[in-house]
Amino acid sequence: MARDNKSLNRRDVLKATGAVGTAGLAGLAGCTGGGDDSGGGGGGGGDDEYPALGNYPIEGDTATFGFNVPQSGPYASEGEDELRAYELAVKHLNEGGGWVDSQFDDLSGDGVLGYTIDHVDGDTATDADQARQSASGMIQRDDAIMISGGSSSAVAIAVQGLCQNEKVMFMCCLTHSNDTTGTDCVRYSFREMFNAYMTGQALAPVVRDAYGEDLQFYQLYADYSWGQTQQASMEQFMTDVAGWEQVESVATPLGTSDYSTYLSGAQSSGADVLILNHYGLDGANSMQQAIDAGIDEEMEIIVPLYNRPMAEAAGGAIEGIYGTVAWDSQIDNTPSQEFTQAFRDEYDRTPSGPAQLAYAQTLQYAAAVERAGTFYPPEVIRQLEDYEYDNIGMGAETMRGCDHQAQRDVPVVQGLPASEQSEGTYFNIVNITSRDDLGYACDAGPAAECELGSYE
Amino acid sequence: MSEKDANPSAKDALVGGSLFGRWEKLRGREGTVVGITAILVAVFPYLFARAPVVSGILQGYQSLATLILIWGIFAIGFDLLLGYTGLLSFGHAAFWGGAAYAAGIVAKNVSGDPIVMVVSGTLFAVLLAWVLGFLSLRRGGIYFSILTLAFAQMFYYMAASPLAFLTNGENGLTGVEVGSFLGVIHLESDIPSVGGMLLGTWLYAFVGVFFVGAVAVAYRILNSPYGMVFRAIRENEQRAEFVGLNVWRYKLMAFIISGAFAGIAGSLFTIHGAYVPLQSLFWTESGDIVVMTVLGGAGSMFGPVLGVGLYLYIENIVSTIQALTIPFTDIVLIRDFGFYWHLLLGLVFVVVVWVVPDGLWGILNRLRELAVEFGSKAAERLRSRSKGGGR
Repeated sequence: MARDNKSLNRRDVLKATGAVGTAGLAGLAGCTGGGDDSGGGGGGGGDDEYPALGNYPIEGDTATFGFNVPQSGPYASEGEDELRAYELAVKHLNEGGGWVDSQFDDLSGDGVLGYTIDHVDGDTATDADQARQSASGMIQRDDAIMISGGSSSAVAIAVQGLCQNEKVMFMCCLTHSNDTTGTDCVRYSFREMFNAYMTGQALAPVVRDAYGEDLQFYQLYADYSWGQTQQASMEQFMTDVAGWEQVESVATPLGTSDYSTYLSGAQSSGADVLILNHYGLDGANSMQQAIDAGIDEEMEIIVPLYNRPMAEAAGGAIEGIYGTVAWDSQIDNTPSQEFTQAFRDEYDRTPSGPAQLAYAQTLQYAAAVERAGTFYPPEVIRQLEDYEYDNIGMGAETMRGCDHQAQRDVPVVQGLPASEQSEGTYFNIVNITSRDDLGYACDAGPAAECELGSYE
Repeated sequence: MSEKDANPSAKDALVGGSLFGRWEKLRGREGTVVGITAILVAVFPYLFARAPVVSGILQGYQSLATLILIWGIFAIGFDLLLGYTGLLSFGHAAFWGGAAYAAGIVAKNVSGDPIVMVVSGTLFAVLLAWVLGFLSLRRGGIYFSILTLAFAQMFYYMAASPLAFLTNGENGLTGVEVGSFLGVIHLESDIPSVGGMLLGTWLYAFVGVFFVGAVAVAYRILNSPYGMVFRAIRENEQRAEFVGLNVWRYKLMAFIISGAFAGIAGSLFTIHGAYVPLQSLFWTESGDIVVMTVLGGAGSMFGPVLGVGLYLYIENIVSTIQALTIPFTDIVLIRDFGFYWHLLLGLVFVVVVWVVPDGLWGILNRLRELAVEFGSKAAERLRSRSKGGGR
């Protein structure tokens, strides 16, 4: 075990490449040259104006993206759809097509900055630990220059923390917790998806108009961070905006399969509205059981965040139930239709909300690289911060610089009855709540607790 | 199997003064074991992540090498309990995760010095093991396993919600800043010159020192009268009691020692990731360590480390293989091969338990015995032939 302490932090010795100026924090990421033994040589496309950082500069003429999605576990079907969208995005980046041709002027359809885009994928298993392992393999072994993925906030938060340390960019896919761009926000991560806070803001006026004012509501929530922030946001906005009154808010353990005792508590409370803050399989279970118990006949039910596996599992039980979704193929504008069409042409199926997020985030990153003229992460980050765009089918948006949270519209939907559901179509879009009615200032709400950390 | 490991001198007479014999004599010595461990630890990340051809085949990377050592420490400690004392704890996630959280919380609120983190995490795990052992060891067999599982799950749910102000709940403990070692060495940075080529990062060296230390301590315990008592308890608890040993106290001590190993590993895990996932307290983590230990070979010193290596290799590397091809060709055998890694791991586990109940280490041991037998037979034949020639 050699223990000579002569010059600390000089990792240059390892990597035969010269021109490496800085050392320090970024050490771990850059040094492992993957499977290939050639240290020097390569050199890439020749933008050497920036110091080495994370996996920059890219060796060779291929830039690798890492797609870290749930391929096993309860969100596997969602992850599968995300992966389809990611692969489609890579294909369009290299060969043109889809939004690359029509919506993103920065992109050429001939790679990015002359680099061909390649990708690796990994399984998060909806487990923060596993997701981090998978991401660190992508960063260290496959030299990924950007990581994207998600389907769970805990996973997104864990991976974006890793990416901040490794100085590799992370483009969030589905993550709905306030914390992702709140207390746990990082400089190297950007979120297109809205959060629990905005869901509350978007839903409150819609359900007030639908069900009237002066109602009483009862909440059940999954007892973990997302559930807690979700129920807190619902309480806040149902009280302030809809003018309703909360009877009680009850925590249910994560992964509960039998909600009957909780539901009968809600039923006998005398409240008019039941809000089920559950997601994934929990959401499918609680919703199904609420319907089976006949609660929908006495009370109105609200499910703040829908996803497709949930709708699939609950089937006809979602009829008439209000909620929000990331995106839906029925949204009527050019980018949405183009994406739906491109996805259908490729896979012969309708894309889900997370698929649109995955596709948009990948192209968004690539376009920022083109604008920056380099893969050097701090420059790419600066291109994305406070960037305004209107090309991904959710209206005019701003990627806010202070917390890296997209300021965008939120689609409010209502579940369709079983007879009208078909593959890929489970909801009816009720309202697309404008971003002007949503969000919070940089020094308010979740953003007040956000400290992004350093660029380098 | 374990007795043979610990006590190889019995074989020396058989083998005689050949090279084998000399090796057999050296093999059991503590210095040899620790020395060889240190050499393997030093070479491992190079072979795994950087060596020209080998690493290309293995597809390894530095942080996984570090992780294997960390889990290795955990497994060695766990095996002291499962393999040598014969107690199946299903709640070791409490010590692993508990220590990880303790180290992380200390880093956030008190000091991010790696040594302070390891010490505080380990202390926490030891105290916890004391309490949980005191409560769980009142019952034996399956009741003991269930009790440990129940306690560990209690901690999981506590960390998930009531203690979320400390643990950050489901999102995991973020914002852990690991300070520099002795105030000068950033653990994340690379070691200069040859050390860097072999070991990679300072973090690996840091973990490696703990690993070698863990091996030395475990070896010392197992080859002391204390370890003998552990094995006696495993073989026949009643008899051990009749001999006059305070079985309960020894069991508690085994539990605490193994908790301490888990604690060291858990704290290192926090230093390694600068993050603590909530899953580190979940029962699947306890299950993983059981599977790893049994896979590698319970009741052998190094078997569990092999189990850890194989398990993490399949989990992190095989799972990323996108298409299984026949080597050196483009013919695809199975598309999305990595997708089936759970299945593969299950199959490997079933086959190992079925065919070689003493695990991967058992396979190695058998190979070694075969080699020794072959060697001594060959020597004998040579001897008899030379005798015949003399006549």
